[in-house]
Amino acid sequence: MAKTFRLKIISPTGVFYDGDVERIVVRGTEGEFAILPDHIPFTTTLALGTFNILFGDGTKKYGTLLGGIATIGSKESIILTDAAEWPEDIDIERAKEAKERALQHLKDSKYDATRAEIALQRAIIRIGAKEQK
Amino acid sequence: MAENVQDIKRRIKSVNSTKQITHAMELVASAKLKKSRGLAEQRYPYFEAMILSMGNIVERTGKSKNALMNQREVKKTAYIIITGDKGLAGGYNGNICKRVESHLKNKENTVLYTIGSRGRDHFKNRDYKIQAEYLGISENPNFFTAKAITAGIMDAYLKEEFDEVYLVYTRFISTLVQHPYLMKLLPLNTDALKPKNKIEDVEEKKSLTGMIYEPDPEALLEYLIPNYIANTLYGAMIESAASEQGARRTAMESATENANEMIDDLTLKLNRVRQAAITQEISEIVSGADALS
Repeated sequence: MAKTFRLKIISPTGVFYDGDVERIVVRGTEGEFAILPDHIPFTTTLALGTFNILFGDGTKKYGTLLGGIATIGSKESIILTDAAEWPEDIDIERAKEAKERALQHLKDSKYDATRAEIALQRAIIRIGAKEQK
Repeated sequence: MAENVQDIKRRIKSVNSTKQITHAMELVASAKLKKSRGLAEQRYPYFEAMILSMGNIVERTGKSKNALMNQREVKKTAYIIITGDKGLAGGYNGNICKRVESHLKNKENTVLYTIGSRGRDHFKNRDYKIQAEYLGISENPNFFTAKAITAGIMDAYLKEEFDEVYLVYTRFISTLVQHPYLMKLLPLNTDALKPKNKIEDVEEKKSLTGMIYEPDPEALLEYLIPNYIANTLYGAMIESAASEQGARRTAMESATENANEMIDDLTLKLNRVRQAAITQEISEIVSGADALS
């Protein structure tokens, strides 16, 4: 079995993932990077996008991250994110609807632009993650 | 006795139906309370981890240049007030409004952000300036709503529309006890972020001092601080939601108890009146029979 490290993915609504992994690839604001065991201590901001986990037994899993911050420590690595999702939890129809709605709201000054923008980004990431498969 | 049997029976019936309503509300509030407490527990790991990394960065960089941390002369003050959308929750909504009014110094130099219709109505009636109102969200706190609200507030703060921001919400202490609570949200108090426990572990210490920040610590703070503010509001919204349900549950519980007491009293009265009528009838019959013989 390959060497693994402890990874925690935490969002404001709860601990999304907590377990040992061999590798995770995430999108940082400076570009995509992988975290392997015995990485140097490192903290960076993350972009909106997908992540890929390789587990110790060779299986893979991917999901979405809505931005955040990754802290790689000596004992464990923690990813703090606004929201994380597995693809099976994403409802593609709802995401598409949300995208349309957010676009409408962005055009209409009656609605809060920041709110609509967040919703739009969220929808795009979700749709992207679903279509990746 | 003045009242007759029919009247008392009718009153018992009406008290009973009120009791059924208050009892149902009590049960609903308990269920919602449970949900809010679950949310609060789920939020905790994120908040903890975030404070930890912010503390570490602040300790490393010393005084940050971040505008959200810098104090300036206070000319205008903003309040974020969290109340419920519905009444019948004991003193829950009133206490918050009172807390704000006791802290408020100058009506002219104050802007309000109200979450929940109760607080909005209260301050609107008293001619306060309400910058923004958010309705229909107090019962189901959502992180993204909190983020959108705080994004607007931070924007206005950076444009110097006001110079400090207070957050007023109800702290959930237990199912029976909730306290209105006022805290300063902006400018951010960096002392509160300093790590409380000294790190003893050598390995961990080494990893902290050797930590590489990318792109740089300031940029990380730029991400973390707005999230910290949003998360603080999110937490306050959750606690307020739990407090509202707790207050409502307690209020409805005592209302149900009172109704029970009233029903007991009325039943006793009913029995007395009925007994009195029977006694009277018997004595009438007896005296009638006596007169005949």
